[in-house]
Amino acid sequence: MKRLLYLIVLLFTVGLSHARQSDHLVSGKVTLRPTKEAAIGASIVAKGTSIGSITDLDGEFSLRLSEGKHILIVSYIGYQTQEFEMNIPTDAASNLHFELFEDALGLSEVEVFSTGYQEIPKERATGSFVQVDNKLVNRRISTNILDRLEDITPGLIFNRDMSGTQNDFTIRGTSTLFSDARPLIIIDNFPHDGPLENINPNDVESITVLRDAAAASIWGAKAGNGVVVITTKKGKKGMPIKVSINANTTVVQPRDLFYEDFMSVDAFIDAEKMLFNRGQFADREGNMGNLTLSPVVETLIKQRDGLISAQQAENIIDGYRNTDLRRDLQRFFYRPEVRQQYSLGVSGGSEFHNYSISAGFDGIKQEIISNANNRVTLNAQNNFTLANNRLKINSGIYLTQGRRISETAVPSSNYLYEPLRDPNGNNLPIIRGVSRRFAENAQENGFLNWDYVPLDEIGATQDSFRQNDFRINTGISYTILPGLEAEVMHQYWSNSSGTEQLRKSESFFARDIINDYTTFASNGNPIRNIPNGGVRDYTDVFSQSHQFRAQLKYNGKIGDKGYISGLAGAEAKNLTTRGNSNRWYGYDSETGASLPVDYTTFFRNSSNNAFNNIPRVQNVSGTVTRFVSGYANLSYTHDNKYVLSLSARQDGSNIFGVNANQRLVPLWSTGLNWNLSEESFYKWDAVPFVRLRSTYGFNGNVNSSLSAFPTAFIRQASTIGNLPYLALNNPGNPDLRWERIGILNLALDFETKGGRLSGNIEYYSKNGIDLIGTIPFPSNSGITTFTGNFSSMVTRGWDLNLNSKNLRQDRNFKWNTNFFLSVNKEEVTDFEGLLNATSYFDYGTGGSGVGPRPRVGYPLHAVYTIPYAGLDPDTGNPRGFLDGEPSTNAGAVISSMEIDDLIFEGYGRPTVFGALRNDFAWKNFSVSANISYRMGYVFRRPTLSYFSLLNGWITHSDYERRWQNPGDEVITDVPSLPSSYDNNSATLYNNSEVLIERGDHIRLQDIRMSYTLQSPSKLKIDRLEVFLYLNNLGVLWKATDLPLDPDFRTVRPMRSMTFGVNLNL
Amino acid sequence: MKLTINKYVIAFSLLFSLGACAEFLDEKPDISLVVPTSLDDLQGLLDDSVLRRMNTGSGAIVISADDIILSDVGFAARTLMERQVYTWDKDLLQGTPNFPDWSISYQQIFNANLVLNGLENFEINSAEEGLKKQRIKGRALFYRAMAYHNLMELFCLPYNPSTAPQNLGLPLRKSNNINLQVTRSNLEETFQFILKDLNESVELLPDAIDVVTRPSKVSAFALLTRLSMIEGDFEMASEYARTAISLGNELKDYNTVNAAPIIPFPFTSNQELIFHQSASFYGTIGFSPETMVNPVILEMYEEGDLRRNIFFRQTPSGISFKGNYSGQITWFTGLAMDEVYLNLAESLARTGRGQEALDYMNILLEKRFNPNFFNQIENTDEEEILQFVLNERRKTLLFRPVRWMDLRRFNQSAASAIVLSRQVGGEVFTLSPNSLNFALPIPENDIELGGLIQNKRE
Repeated sequence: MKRLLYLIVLLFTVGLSHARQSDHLVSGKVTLRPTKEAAIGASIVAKGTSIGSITDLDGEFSLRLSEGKHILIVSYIGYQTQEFEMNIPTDAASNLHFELFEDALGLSEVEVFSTGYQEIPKERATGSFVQVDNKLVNRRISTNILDRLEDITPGLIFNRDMSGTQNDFTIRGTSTLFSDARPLIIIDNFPHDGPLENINPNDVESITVLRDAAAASIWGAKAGNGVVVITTKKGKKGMPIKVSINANTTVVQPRDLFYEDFMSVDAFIDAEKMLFNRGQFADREGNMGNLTLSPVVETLIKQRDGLISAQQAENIIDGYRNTDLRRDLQRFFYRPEVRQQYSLGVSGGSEFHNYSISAGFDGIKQEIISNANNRVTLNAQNNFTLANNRLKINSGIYLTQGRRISETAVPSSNYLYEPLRDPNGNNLPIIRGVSRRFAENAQENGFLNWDYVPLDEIGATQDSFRQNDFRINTGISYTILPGLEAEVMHQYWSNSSGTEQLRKSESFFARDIINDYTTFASNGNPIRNIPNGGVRDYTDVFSQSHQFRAQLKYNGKIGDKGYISGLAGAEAKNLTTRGNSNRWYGYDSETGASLPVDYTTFFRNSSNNAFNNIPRVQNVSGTVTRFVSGYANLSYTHDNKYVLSLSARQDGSNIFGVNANQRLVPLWSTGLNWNLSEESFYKWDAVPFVRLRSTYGFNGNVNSSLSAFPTAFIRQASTIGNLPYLALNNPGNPDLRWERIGILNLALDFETKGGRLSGNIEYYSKNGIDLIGTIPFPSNSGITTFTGNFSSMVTRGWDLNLNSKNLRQDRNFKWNTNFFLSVNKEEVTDFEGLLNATSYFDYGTGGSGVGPRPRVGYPLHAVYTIPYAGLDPDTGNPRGFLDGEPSTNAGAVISSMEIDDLIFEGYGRPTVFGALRNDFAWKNFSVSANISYRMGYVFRRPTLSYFSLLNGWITHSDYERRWQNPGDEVITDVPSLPSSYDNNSATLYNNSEVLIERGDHIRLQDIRMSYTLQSPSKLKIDRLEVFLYLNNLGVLWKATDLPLDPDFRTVRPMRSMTFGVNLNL
Repeated sequence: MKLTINKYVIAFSLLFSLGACAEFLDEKPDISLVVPTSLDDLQGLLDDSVLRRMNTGSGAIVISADDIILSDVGFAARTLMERQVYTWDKDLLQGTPNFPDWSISYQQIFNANLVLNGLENFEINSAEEGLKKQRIKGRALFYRAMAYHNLMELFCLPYNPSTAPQNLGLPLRKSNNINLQVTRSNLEETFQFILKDLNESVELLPDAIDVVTRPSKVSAFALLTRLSMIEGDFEMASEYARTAISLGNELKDYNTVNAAPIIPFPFTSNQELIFHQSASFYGTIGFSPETMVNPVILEMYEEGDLRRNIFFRQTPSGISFKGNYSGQITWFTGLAMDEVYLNLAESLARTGRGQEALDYMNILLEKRFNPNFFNQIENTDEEEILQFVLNERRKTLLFRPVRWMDLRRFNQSAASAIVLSRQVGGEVFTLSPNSLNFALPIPENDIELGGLIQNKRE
């Protein structure tokens, strides 16, 4: 530990030794011939010193020089370097103007793509890369780095067809059915094992998205879903000390609780009264499980039993009619969310050393009162160049501390008319856990108070989560011979987190569980089998990983015109996780004291009369993930016209329960470039740059949850018999194979004269083989669903990306446009399993858990419906077709349905999407607005659930449009209220064609406005930017007439406003 | 840390000679994950009453029989599947891909087969291990037999030795290979398969019951008694029942049971229990105040009969059953000693040993009556003794699968056949003794994806 501290101190202090010695400001501009465009990112260095500057977006630069004679070196890749001699202070030092001539080699611009293994210059890249530069990374404001990729990355889309998954995005469609479909995230050369929330976006320099086999195959078996490579900021060689300070504050509109379209409280209460009168709640009322009933029903019971008069009951119910829980929730539980973000970065470099140090703080006051989280990040990187540039050593340390505190849970209600506070200011209970009748008498029956009073709960529970995330990267490279470099890298990562859930003795949770395990002695005295006091849960998880890599790289010329670049290496990884969780009963948070309980005896629960032993939360868990890989990569460039790339990799993983040879998978790729415009016969002056690229190869995908042999988890104790047992995890599948994805990519890059219009168009075809899927299985086999390599599918698509410099000549006004269009179509080409029509139901509601099912000749993410014959004119029951005739016999309709009877409605995920971004600049002002669009998909619109209503819970407002009288079938498709719940009728209606809506829409995602000062003469700063960022501005157009946002059907994304300052010194 | 890195360097250098990294990749990905091979692992698979529900029985079998009456309100509150089971609906399970009463039994069969398969490959190293292995095998065979027995009583037409070879039986799975498609055997094969498993398990199982969720010799004999009665072999049935009783199990004296609690019987410490199983998928219907007991049964209890108070509770709508031997809110579907006594008495009565039958009835009833009201039963009329035994059977074994099994058995002779009928909202539903509806339909996934022949319904 001491050594570690020493190391940290060293790393932080090294960078600060550069003092500032210069005092005369030198400024000017660099432009390019013949277009007179500003040279962005050109370097100006005072020869023999570490003083220098990089030109900004306008091609302008400024630096400070001491008195005396200097030689400025102005360089820009692809252009000839100029030297300029000047005397300070005698020569004019401002408004210098350098015009650079194109280099004979004529590279139009140089960008490098980072794959995590190497940096590939754009002109030698055969694969499909998307580079998101620093400016774009910073354009959007978010605490999560991945959010910043949305709507700016062709081919990348965030999926919203199923709820419940965070960061669910795909690159060029899905190529796996049920394995992990998330792309691989690389940070500073290694796969990221920690939570993404621990990355401070302000530390990110750029992001590269790898979309095809040639780009990603270097990542082998983990690259099947695409790869996102994040590169953090680093100091640059010979760069003077730079300080950047960012501060911003975001305010989000409070949540719209009325967004979900529930029936009105009035209509609901009327329905409840009607259902009560027909005896609907008798079953719940007298149930031995003390099931909950709504306040209105409880009032009606009191009236029926003569405890209150009809008038009293009516008054109480009228009170409810005028109440809306959502108003109270908005008043007492919600507030505008406020996010604050600050960061400070210092970087610089000399001839032999460069560094970058940063600190960041993010604080969020969440939309729910007294819930907050914050994050502190520290980051220090040092790079040393020694032994005549032959030895390079780099090290980086990243520390993140995160905290989340939540003292409030928003109460949920099935009724929506329960008030939280009465007019006299008293906090009121709402229904939870046990019926009102039972709770009211609890105390006189020897229990603790059993009321759930939401406003008293605030602060009675305290959930906190804290984590410390720690990452050290070290790398050493040595140039053995010119062009031949040996490199070893290591990353150690660890994360320790603790989650505490404290439910104080006054909390409902504690009282509820104590009551539930209260038994009574023969004299009637209560026995608290769980002692009075709080309940505290604590879980700690410690994860760590080592990743180690050794590789040889070669770069060099072969003959006159050939250039070869290759690397070969191997790597290993070991990721371990250990978790412990424990619970304390009778806990006193003041003293930390707790009391023992009897875990082995079964007690009859007071609430529902079930038999249980006291919940024991004592778990130790541990996981180990290991990878061993070997890889090689070669690219040959000939005459700057042709590039050939080859790559191969073998991966092995500690997949459990398979034979040794099944743990390994070999993967490869190849690619070809042709710089057409370099050919002597190419004469088209208007388009001076044209290049064709093509690649083909295989990526893979792991599903470590499967095994060839049957596997099981050891579990502590069964509820019956108190015996430890083995829970079957996998029935075993001897035919298990790795998923492989063959990817073809064809691309055309171009740029018109002067860079006015540039861009690329890419076509791809991804052929997924042996894809793992879960399908229903005949249950006499012993399982009801089976997961195995069932299908193959093809995903084809286009990505078009265009950059246009619409107005650039006039210095005062600039207008750039970026447009991208991604088209993605998928088709299941092979499917070995058997499915019936019912398997295809339900996907498309947006709910969690209901995934799509494969069908040959159709997209995987397909939404299917049942042909609907409208409502029965006599009963209002939903009708399907049975032998071609309308029928209300829903069971028979569903049962007799063949797969071919299903209506294919379309894709459940957008097949066409993209964004149009316009950047305007006028003098120091700039405005950027992004309009995104998602097209070509459908969804099932939300509707009522008679299951909910018949249980006494509020449901969708479609209830008010239901069939009530003969003739209504002409104007509505919503079935009548049934006398008892019929799940087949519900299935028929919920999957009927009438509920399909088109999801196509265009939205104004965000607008960013900024004012920038470049090197103002009066202030000693390089750059000052003040900005205002508006996000989630709304849907501009949508195909559906429904009032809801097609992509957010239960919770509307709220508008937010960010104000921020970026300062560079 | 230095040490760890060294480990990597080694692992890494080994990589180039590929096979060697196998060891590095041998590490288990999760500490609690196993490929079950040890005897404890295999026993653990049988003890899984949670995920694979090794101690769950059928609730549809209780709903199908005539112990239960649903009020109209209660009927409306039930699921469609429960309503259709209750009314012996021809269209039961239409549109329903899965049915727990079917799939859970087959889960149990899978686990039993997995264990039997694992035991075949297990080599014993000591006598102690040998005994352990033998017991686990016996238990696995019993679980498999019990599961097939439950399935047979619900998804096959009633067993009759003369028609069984022509009637459809069950798909009989003997291996845990899920990819194997198995077609339906005939009913005779199914019956013999169960008998064979049980006869084998009797040799292997321990005499005593250690935990009621695990089978013992007593459980095997108790189940053999049932099967012999189904077969009509009452000599064998009485032998098996006698052996089960001789293994030392006791009856519970109802004078010691407090009738007041909502569930009067203890959870697993009821000494009358032989093998615990409950219809854990059917909690809501079992617990509903609208699920009532058939009034015919209520009228049968005499004064001083403790069962009357312990078994029932008054609800606003009528009288409901609460005497589950499961000790839970769910119906008991396992085996208990009271059934063995009644099986024995019936078998004796049907084989001309009425007096002996009465002796056993007296032992049982003494534990069921307030001593102030109990008199030893005496009778010499064999017919009356049989009827008496059958009446006590009705009064004792209600809301268990026994009634449905009895109906199927009684219907084999025209003299004892019973027509069931029930009313819902004025509509009358009947189940005639020879109805095809005694065999429930097989879930659609098994028909459409598994290629099984569907039962005919009428």
